[in-house]
Amino acid sequence: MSGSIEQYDVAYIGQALPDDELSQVTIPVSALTECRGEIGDFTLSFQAEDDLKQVRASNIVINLKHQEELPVDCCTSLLEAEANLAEEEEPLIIVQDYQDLSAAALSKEGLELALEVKESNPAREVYYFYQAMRFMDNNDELYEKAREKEVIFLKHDLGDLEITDKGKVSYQREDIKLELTGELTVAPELKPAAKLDKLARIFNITRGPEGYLQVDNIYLQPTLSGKRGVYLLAGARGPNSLTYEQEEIQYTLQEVKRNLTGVEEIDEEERTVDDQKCVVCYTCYRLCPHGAIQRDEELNSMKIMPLACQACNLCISRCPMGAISRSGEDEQQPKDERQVIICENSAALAREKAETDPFADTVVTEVPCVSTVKKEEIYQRLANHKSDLLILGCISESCKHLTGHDRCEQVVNTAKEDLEKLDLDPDRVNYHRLSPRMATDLSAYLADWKGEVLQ
Amino acid sequence: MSRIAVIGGGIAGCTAAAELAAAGQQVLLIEKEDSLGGNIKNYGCKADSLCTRCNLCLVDSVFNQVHQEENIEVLFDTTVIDCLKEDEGFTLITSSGELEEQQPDISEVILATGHTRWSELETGTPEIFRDERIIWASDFEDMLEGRQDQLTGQNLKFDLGFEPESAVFLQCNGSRSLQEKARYCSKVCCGYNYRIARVLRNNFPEMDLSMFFIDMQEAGFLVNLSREDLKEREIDYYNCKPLRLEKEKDSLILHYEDQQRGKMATLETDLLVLSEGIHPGSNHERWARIFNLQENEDGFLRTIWSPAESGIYLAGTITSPGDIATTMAESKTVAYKLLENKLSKAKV
Ligand SMILES: Cc1cc2nc3c(=O)[nH]c(=O)nc-3n(C[C@H](O)[C@H](O)[C@H](O)COP(=O)(O)OP(=O)(O)OC[C@H]3O[C@@H](n4cnc5c(N)ncnc54)[C@H](O)[C@@H]3O)c2cc1C
Ligand code: SF4
Ligand code: SF4
Ligand code: SF4
Ligand code: SF4
Repeated sequence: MSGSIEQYDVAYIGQALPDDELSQVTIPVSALTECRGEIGDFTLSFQAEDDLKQVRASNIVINLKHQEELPVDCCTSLLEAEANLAEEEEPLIIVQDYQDLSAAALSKEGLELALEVKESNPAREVYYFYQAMRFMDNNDELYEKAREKEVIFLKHDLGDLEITDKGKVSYQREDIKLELTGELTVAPELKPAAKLDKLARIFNITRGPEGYLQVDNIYLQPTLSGKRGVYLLAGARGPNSLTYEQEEIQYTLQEVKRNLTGVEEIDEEERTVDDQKCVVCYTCYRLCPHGAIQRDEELNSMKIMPLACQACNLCISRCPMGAISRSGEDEQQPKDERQVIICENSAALAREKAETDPFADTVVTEVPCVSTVKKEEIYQRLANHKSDLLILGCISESCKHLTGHDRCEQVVNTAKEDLEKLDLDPDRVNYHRLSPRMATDLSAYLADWKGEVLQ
Repeated sequence: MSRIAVIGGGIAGCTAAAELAAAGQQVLLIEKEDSLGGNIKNYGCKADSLCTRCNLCLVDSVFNQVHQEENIEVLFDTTVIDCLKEDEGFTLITSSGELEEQQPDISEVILATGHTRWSELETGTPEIFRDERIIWASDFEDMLEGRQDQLTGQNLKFDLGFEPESAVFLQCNGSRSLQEKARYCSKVCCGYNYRIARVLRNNFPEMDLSMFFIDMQEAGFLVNLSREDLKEREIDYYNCKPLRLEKEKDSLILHYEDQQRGKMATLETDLLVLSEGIHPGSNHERWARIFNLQENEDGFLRTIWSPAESGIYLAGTITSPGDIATTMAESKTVAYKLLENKLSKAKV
């Protein structure tokens, strides 16, 4: 391989997006073998003919088609259906929501198809079976028009719809009985694109519950992956991505362009791995919610990539060797008062919204994510002080660092178990969850807690 | 140095302003109320034991950022009454109480004055809905903001003067009906009422909960509502709009057509929660006139000229209904586009 590797603004895994300003390279999923580096400077390795090739890219966009599954045989997929405009005698039958409700993008396809056929051939019967008409763009207009043009809309959950292997459609409701054959077009069920497990491994990102590459978390909307500079579209992103296709593409292209004007580190602290202490156990690599850690082959140690790191401190609190440190780590010297550790994304925002500071007379440590808290820190705080310790994280599944709040709860629970084993009071450390919009609850809880300590 | 004016300090305006300021631009944010936030200022969290993706976690840090940014000047209690085109950019005429002022050196304008909720419109609450047992979804927001079930462990307090043992959610009010002056789907109400129902279920396992849908929508980037979601939480699903409401002393009675059986049926409830649609904001005529914009047939605004040339951009629910996450994503896109256009203009 030659010394200089080609450098692009963006590497597409799957399909490229239409844009003539960005320099781009497209790599098929099957060819991709490795991705190293971080936003601004990823290095991708892939198989090209018989060679292993490498390119560098500032951003990565994973844009893959959904896999489609047709719920019945003997029909055309709504996503592939072409309006048949010949003088057809047989009815056109469109079915959506056959099992699960179809996305709004499929309603759009269905309505457009129905209208096109009705407009060219008003006499032809068009049946549209559905459970819920879903709206995006001008679907509402299309729906109205289709009804004016006498497309027959039937909600199939209000009756019995059956489609046989041979494509015979029967529908029964108290007042209606239909037996139909005709041109049958059915909305496919959309599934995650193929080979996403491989991509999750290569990019070191966690997959969501349905198998898409995006975890179902509000902070990742619309197309973020958790790893900076890696964007997800279509069948890599989620089940609703076709509905928001245009918005998602626009957003992603603009983000990519903005990234090219320069990316800054998330905070001013420096997080470093001590290569003498690191035993390359991969704990931090697996836990990092943002795919920000990679192995440094030369040093045989882990390395934190400063632009990719989103400053949650989870790795620091979990490294079994204590090999990771940060520059801003300060030894808190809490007085003998109540001690609270709060997350800047929830309790700290709720605190600001409260009329009077709920944390008056309390030693508050604000952290970027409660996953910052180490088990040792809990022991130390409890040992050095008579007061209890309260840790406040985010509501389940609303953590900016995806898993941070759950990791912290695990730490607190093991600490509690240990305390119990030592015959110490496990209730001296408490973990609770709240959202930034729970100032009332927070104030009331702390007022009560204050009472308890005074007793 | 010239400034970019952002009109409207809801989540759309604030997202755009924060994005521009972070890129080093000077921003003048003009808000007609005395604080930022717009419609969602006092909305509450809608999590049950899990986050239901209502998106409110995303907004407070943006509002704080606007407060803290040195590059952003905010004029509260102020609106814009005219816009004068200069050789370079614009001068805006702002009005605050009696005071009228000129804001010179405005290079671009982002208009983000949002939407009106149906219940706020004079034509909003029909006579039939005047009853203390009938409330708007947005009436729930205050109760949700005051919820104390996560930390303190107390059940949600109904601010109603009675304790309902059942609740029915009625979808598509103030949307999808010409009488209600909105032909379109408001896109957010299926989602937020479903979330409120989840909070109720979590607080009151015994409560009877039902929802009447005409068409159940997806609810944003992340949520795809389904009947299974409702079933799992024992929320009854009705696929129709009730035809008649009867107010009895002890309960409200909804008459609906049970299409499966082809006959009329009734459902009794203590509390009726009305969804409320997103309607066009105020001042659209003025905006259309002074900024050369067009009202579409639903009353939302769109640009006639390309923003790259006119310097006038639109962001948020001023253009069409949408939830917080789509609004934020679009507002960011608008801010980046503006910056990009500015840059290429500077190069020429
Ligand atoms: C009942 C209800 C519940 C909802 N619940 C959710 C939910 O749970 N999750 C979700 O994601 N979305 C929800 N939404 C949608 C959400 O409210 C909108 O997405 C969001 O408010 C849009 O923000 P915006 O900035 O576009 O508009 P707005 O919030 O309307 O902000 C507009 C701002 O402009 C200011 N302004 C107006 N006119 C002028 C003027 N002439 N001069 C200067 N300033 C002016 C206003 O004071 C306001 O601050 C809900 C909507 C409704 C109706
Ligand atoms: S967790 Fe610690 S020891 Fe293990 S690989 Fe990471 S830095 Fe090295
Ligand atoms: S601080 Fe968080 S984001 Fe940064 S490397 Fe550690 S785990 Fe990853
Ligand atoms: S429901 Fe809304 S406010 Fe509550 S945690 Fe989820 S996003 Fe945040
Ligand atoms: S979002 Fe749901 S309730 Fe609101 S108008 Fe659309 S279909 Fe009706």
